[in-house]
Amino acid sequence: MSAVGAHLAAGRPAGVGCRTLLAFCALLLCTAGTVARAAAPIPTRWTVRSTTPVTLSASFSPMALGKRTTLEFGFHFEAPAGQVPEPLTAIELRYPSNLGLGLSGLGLATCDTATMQAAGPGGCPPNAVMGFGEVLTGVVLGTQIVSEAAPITIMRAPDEEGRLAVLFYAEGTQPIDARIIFPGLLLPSRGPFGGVVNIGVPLVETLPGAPYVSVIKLHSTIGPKKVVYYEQVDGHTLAYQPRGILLPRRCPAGGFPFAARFLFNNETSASAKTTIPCLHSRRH
Amino acid sequence: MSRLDRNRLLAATCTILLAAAAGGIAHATRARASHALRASDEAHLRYISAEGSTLYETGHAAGTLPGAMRVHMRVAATFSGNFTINAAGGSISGHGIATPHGVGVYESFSGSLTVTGGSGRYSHAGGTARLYGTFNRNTYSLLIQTQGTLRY
Repeated sequence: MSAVGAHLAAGRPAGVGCRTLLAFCALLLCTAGTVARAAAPIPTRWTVRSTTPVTLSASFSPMALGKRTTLEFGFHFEAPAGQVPEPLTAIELRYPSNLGLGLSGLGLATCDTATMQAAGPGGCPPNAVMGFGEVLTGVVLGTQIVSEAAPITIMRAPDEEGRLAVLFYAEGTQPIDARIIFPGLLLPSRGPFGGVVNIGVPLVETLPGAPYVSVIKLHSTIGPKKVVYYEQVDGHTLAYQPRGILLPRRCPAGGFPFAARFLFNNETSASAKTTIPCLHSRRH
Repeated sequence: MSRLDRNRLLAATCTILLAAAAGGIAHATRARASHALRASDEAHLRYISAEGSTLYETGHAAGTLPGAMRVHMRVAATFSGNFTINAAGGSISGHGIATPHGVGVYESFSGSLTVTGGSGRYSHAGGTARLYGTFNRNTYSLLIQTQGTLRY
């Protein structure tokens, strides 16, 4: 729960006026139990560069060449004081080649959008979970920035057009009660990248005439960390942890490269790169 | 014979020699690809090792060209890799690419396979085939089926 959410839960937001409180109430009525509309398709050309600075982060946990791991990634937009970034509409996340995502044992089952809309991740097969995370969102209401941290679950979804598909499920409760589902599609990419995850981010409405909710930062995992799968063995249900992403035995020259492009609702874009170095990694 | 006539004769001789050489090459090409057969094979492969997204598997191919088979396959957004079959009289090598579909423990894929060469009686092998298969995401075992034409 965000700081603002905690204050709301306590009965009154600190430093937030009555008008804003009314706005929160209206916001709750507007968005409670709704699922954001489907994400827009990702444009092929993003020409206008955004002025929004963005930082991309990535790491492996553990970092051990030749071993199984969980990928942790995130991004953080910076905005001037008192403002939030433009609402996000799409993300392209490129990951390094020779990353054994397909050998991870993740996503043995799938969950479709309808099931997730109806019952959330709890209604999906446990063996569809591919990772967890958290997203921090914000919206400017009056002169206040209302922020909210919402947990994310990444699920394997039925393939689309022969491509591996995933669904991101973000569930916010305070101060905005909203369940947002956004789709991702795994596509081939040119070197040095092994693939790209195209993610469509839906616009989340707040109040009539008010801006859409903005994503401020996101952190997530793809891998076996905190993931439990189940299998049937001799009539018994056994819990186990999926293998995880297999790292190559040798580090790529210059490390493991990641890159991301972000498209905003005002049709500007921002990009960021990062590399996971191998300097301190070793085989075990 | 005038100098002009000698030059004409020389040019004609060269043309005949070049044509003969070209014919020889064409004949040699035909000789190299003197066999063509419709091949249909199935291979069961088991996991040996993995390096990042690339699997190394070995097993046995049965069908038109039976023999020991080894495969390096990259499991990513698309499946791609190289193969070698050690058949009677020589080996056959090539590469393939396929799109995975379906979910669950068994992931099916389909695509195409290209024979690029080999050794022994298959040293000039070539051809293309349709490629089908399933990939066990737990054990990494592969079942591969191919249907196509092999020339050698």
